[in-house]
Amino acid sequence: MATFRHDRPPTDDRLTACRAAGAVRRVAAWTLVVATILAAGGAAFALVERAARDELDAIFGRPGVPMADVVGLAEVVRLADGVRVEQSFRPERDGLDGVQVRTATWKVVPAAADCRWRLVADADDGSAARVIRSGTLDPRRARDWTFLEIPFAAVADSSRRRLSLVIEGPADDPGAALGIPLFTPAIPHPPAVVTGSGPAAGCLHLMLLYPEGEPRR
Amino acid sequence: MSAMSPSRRGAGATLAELVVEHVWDVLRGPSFRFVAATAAAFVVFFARAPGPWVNPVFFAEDRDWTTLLVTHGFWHTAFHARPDYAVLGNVAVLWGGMRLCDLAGDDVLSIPRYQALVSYFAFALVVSLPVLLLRRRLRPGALAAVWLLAVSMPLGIHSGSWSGYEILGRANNVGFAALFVAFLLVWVRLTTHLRPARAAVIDAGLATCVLTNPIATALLPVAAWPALRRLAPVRDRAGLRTAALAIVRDPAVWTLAAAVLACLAGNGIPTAVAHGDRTALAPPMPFDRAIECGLARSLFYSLSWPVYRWLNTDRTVALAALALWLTWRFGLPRHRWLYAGGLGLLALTSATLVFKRPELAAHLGDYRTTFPDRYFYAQYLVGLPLMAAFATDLGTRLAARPRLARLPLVALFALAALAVVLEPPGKIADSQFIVDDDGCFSRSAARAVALGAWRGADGKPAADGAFVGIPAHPSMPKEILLPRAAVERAITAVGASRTPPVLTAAAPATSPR
Repeated sequence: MATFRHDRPPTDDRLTACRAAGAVRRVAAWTLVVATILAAGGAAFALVERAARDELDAIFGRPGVPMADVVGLAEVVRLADGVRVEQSFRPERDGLDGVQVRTATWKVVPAAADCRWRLVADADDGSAARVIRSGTLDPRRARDWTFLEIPFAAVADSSRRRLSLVIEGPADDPGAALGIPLFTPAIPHPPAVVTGSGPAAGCLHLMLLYPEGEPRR
Repeated sequence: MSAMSPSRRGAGATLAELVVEHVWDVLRGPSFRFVAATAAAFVVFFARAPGPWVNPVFFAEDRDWTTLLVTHGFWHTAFHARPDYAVLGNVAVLWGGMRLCDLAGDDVLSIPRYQALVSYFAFALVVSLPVLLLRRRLRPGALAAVWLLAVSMPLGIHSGSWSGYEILGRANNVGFAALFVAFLLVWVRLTTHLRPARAAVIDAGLATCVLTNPIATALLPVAAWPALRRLAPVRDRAGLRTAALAIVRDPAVWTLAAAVLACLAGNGIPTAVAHGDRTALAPPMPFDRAIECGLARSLFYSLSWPVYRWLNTDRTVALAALALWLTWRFGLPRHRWLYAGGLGLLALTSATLVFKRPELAAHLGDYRTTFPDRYFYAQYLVGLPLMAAFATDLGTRLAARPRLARLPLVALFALAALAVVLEPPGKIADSQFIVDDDGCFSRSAARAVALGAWRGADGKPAADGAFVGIPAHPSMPKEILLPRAAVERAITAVGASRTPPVLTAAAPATSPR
């Protein structure tokens, strides 16, 4: 490494060598500094990412299995004035203990309203269907285009049943209402049924929840 | 001064000691402060809006412009993505994300994540620029306050509106920041000795800003002021000839002329044409909305945001008048040109929004919500160095009373602290997950390949098309085109690890219950 000695007169060659050595040291110093910044930044980034992924899972709830893949938005049903949406499906596994339904809120938080849901088991022998689970849901929990979770007690033999999820809006119009988007399924699937208009143009984007869960990503 | 003695700098010092000595030099330099500020801002912006990275989707124009990038390349996209003006900066962010994805060896379906990274970096770079460019114009404390206020700028992230979802981590709204960058560049250009190389860099930056945000065009004539000023003392024809020759011989004039020509070539002659039905059909903005949009949001939002929900038309006008009077009365005369220029730029932006984007009136929430923040954050940024300069002026006026002299700067830091409290970076807002992908895009891509959704570069179905048309998201069903071979590779590589589509048994349409 060339260095400048004060006890000897400088020459052009020695000055050039000193400048080159200085440049190398500057590059080395900058490399050290930038590497430190990148390492610190990377560590901070990883911390934030971990927190964000935890938050993501908390917001979307536990991972579920899609009832059917969807590819495009068909329409959004506004849950008001007693409108009811019904979607039939057949779970692939036993122990179904909840569903997540994709909701739309038109970029606002929906107003409190009396929304009810029920899970109906179709009878395979032609007898009347019966309600096996039911409850209410709070529209204020819904966010635009995210999933709203509806948990219920596990249906032990769910894989052997054909089920229908019915969601019913309040009898009046709450103003900022909850919306249920219907999508075009990627593969043929029974469409939802909307009160008053019969089979709709699409089906619910529904995730089926099981106790053992499903890897989110 | 170095921590080491001059003798240690010379003979006898080991290589490690010499490098450490240079490290100290680096740490004291302005370039290090700029790099460190950019890195810190990058992490803060990611912490404020991590959605685009952990929950990536091709969003709005990012989807359309990525399609254009894939099918028509960088320059075509930069200059033809919009019918009315170029979007060079935005497209550079998207292109950078695509290249970064390549470099990282990730599959083509992961492009939006890397575009988000480049977007965070672009925003971080923008808010840190004052640290580098204004270091000789503002005191270190004022620069620190500007940086803090900029990284904590209120963006409606925790409001539940789309504002928190569509700015940080996106490329389509990066372009608004070009106004702020152009403002800084012109400030530097007017207050520095312009060596040819420096003038070329500044003017290239200015051209890039104008070719990203056309409102920055208004700053081009201002940038020419140092040359035009030579004409001021001219009293006769000989003097005019001398001044004209001096102007023509000035390299900075030529670099600016080249920048102006580049802007004209890219954007054409600026015209007042309304594009899009919403703009064309919207009625003129009502007076109250014009005050909200033009004064409360644009002209002095840097000051008014803490009390925004308390404002109404009367209060806004009164506060704006008070702020302008205080600026004129207590700002130092040597900074008046800066205040006039900065406020003039903000006023021009306000007028543009009020008269040329009247449809914004429908989005403004009567001071209840700050949506759509994307149209206003650049004006907020422009206001920050003005506030810092004013705080410095006040400090100078109060120099005889040292305790009081620090108060203006302390107030700026307090404002930054308030912003951090109102939009805490560590608390992840629901707005980050307004649109959830959850593997949807991968499954849509697999399905598009399975169905043979091949497209030509024009987006139309073509049996031997080089691209695949993939619905970007169930709620945004418009297609994005990606290279067929790359998508097929990606699906082959990750297909086994993704959740496959679940085929449920066909059930009959149910009868009403």
